Amino acid sequence: MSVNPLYHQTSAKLEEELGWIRRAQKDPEKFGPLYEKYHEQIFRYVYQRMDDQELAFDVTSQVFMKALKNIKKYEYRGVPLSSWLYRIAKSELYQAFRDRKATRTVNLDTIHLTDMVEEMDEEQNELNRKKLFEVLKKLNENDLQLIEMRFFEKRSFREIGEILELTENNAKVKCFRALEKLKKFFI
Amino acid sequence: MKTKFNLDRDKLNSDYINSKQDYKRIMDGFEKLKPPIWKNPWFYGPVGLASLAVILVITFQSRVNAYGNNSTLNNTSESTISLPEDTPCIKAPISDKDIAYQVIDVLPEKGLNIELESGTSISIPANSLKSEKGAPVQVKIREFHDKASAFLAGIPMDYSDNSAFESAGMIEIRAEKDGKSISLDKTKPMSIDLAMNKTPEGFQFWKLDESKKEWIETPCAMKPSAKASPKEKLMLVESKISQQQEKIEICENKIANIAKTSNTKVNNNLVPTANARKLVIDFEQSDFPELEGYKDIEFEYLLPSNRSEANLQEYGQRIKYAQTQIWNDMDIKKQGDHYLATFINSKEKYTLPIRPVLKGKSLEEMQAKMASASVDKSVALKKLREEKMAYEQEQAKLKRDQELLNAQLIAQIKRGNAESMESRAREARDRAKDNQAIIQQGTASFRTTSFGVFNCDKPIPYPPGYSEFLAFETQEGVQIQMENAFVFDTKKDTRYSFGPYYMHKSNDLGWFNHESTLIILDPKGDVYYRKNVNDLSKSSNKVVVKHLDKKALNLDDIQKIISETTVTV
Repeated sequence: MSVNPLYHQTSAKLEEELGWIRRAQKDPEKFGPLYEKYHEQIFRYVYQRMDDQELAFDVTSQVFMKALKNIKKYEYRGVPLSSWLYRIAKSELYQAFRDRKATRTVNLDTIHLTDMVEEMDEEQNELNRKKLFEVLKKLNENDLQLIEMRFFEKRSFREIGEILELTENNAKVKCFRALEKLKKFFI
Repeated sequence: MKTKFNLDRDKLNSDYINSKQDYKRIMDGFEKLKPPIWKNPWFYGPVGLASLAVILVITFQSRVNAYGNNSTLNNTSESTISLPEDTPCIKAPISDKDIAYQVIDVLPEKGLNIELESGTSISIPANSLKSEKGAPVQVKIREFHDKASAFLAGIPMDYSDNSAFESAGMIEIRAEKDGKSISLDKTKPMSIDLAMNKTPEGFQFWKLDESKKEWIETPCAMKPSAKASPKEKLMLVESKISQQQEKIEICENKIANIAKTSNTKVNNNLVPTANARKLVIDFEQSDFPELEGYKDIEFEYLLPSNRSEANLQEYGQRIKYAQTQIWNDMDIKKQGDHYLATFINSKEKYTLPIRPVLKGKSLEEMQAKMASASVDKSVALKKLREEKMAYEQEQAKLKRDQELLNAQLIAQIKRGNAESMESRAREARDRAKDNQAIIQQGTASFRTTSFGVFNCDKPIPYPPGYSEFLAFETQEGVQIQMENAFVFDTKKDTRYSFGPYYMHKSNDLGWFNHESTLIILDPKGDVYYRKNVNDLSKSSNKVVVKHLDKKALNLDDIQKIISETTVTV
């Protein structure tokens, strides 16, 4: 279980953010605090999925330009602005894969493999970690995306649901199924 | 799409990422992305009109001057203005296939009560139409009780940025005289009782704001249909049975999820320890099913069991370290009757034992609550099983009603057989009409002083994007360039629109795992479709589509393609 402190904000922080959003909706010049707050988060999301660092910064800038362009249409629904920004980022990423021939990349650390081997109730050893690394390559994009968000980025089901426009419960079920698939490949 | 896997790639630190922030670039980019001034709706307001007036005056003056100077008109420089056309809010996606209006002449001084075949009634009071007396005004009406006709008419069904409307009936009403729009007197609203093809439960009422291209919630009284035949009642009961089935499935899902969680139990001693240091965690209840029943939980760092001065001093230092460092993430794991909080940044992982405690009044409340009920997995499971049983009982009751109604219908048909040839023929005609009809299941009554599009809807979330880049080709292998795409979901009874003109762009295209039909338009406006697109293999990004002959295409074809019954309310 993990908690992403940037996503799980207190109601006071959400209130503060809502104030920034309202001001930016009236005057786009006031978008600055939102940009500062979420720049790193969105960049990390983008860079997690691509190899080229400069392109990742470029895509991140595109995300904020699009957000600024559409901020007037944004409707607050009690969740952080980040879920909306992630959805824009997702769209911009796939556009970059298509138009700029960027390579879809999955970046993971040994520690993630360790956690996943534990989650799958398998024995902790180098062989299993290597096997898991190979097995991950067999997953389709949708399942990989879920595993990536849940286990490599440590996102909560609620946040995954917000990004993928699923209910929290549905995100949980889908993650579980993706993990089950992974287990099948693993055996 | 090829995917590359990297293991242990070098991490970028926050300082480096933050040093790359360039707000000026964002603002510059934003300025470039801004639509040209003439695409802003306000341009067509006072500013646009003023500019147009100035240009017209200059043109007129130059002509007058030209005459005054005895010059010929041919030598006069002509000033012209051509305003670029903005995309209208309602635009038929397939040219020449728009749905026709029903046109009714109404004398402004008399008004009119209009009864439509669907059961919808419209009452325009006398002197409400603001037009000269004695000359009829053309009132134009279109009703939409199915997805196909709303699609062909180009009625936008997007609500906010992530939902599409499921409609229970929609009406478009306008008034014109000699091609000019006529408005209503603000003190004499027209009344509309709109026939609904679904029961009103869960539906709201909306009016399309065509200038802002968005739906605005509008007051309306909705009531279910009172006079229902056995067949109508049967359809209603069948829809309720499937609603109950959905609820049962949701319960089963939740039960399966809880059953999967580990069977550990938290230490019931939730009394805070004196002198223990607190930790505020904004956690999700669903991630801690064992704490689900508690409110106002906070965590405290676990005091060492040996509370010698040296141990307490070390304890204080460890907590101080945790509180003064900058952490990017936090991981919490259960261990026995307490938890382990691991603080993570790019350099290290730092773990401290913590435990949940209650604070203030909550402590007393929860102690009382805990005495009366054990808040654990079995309680949650029991509650869900009871909920599921209630739904099953309700469904069983509905199934009994269904059997009764079926028996009534059979008896009615048998009676019909015993009657004369003439009455049987009449009944057959009625049945044929019935088979074509979606039964009126409610009425939405409202009053309005403006014309436009009114809709009984509820928003349904958009499906997640397919994620892969999709390639379309015909059965003959001809590649198709997709400009606009429409997904018709049978289960959710919605149309999802994708493309440059819609909120969801082409690369957001996706569908749920229900029976869905995809219709795509290429840049030339040619139409292609694929039934049961939900059955496509997720491992392939190729979608084979069928071409539709646009010339012969009609509403029936679209209804067949999207598996929709012909609808007249």
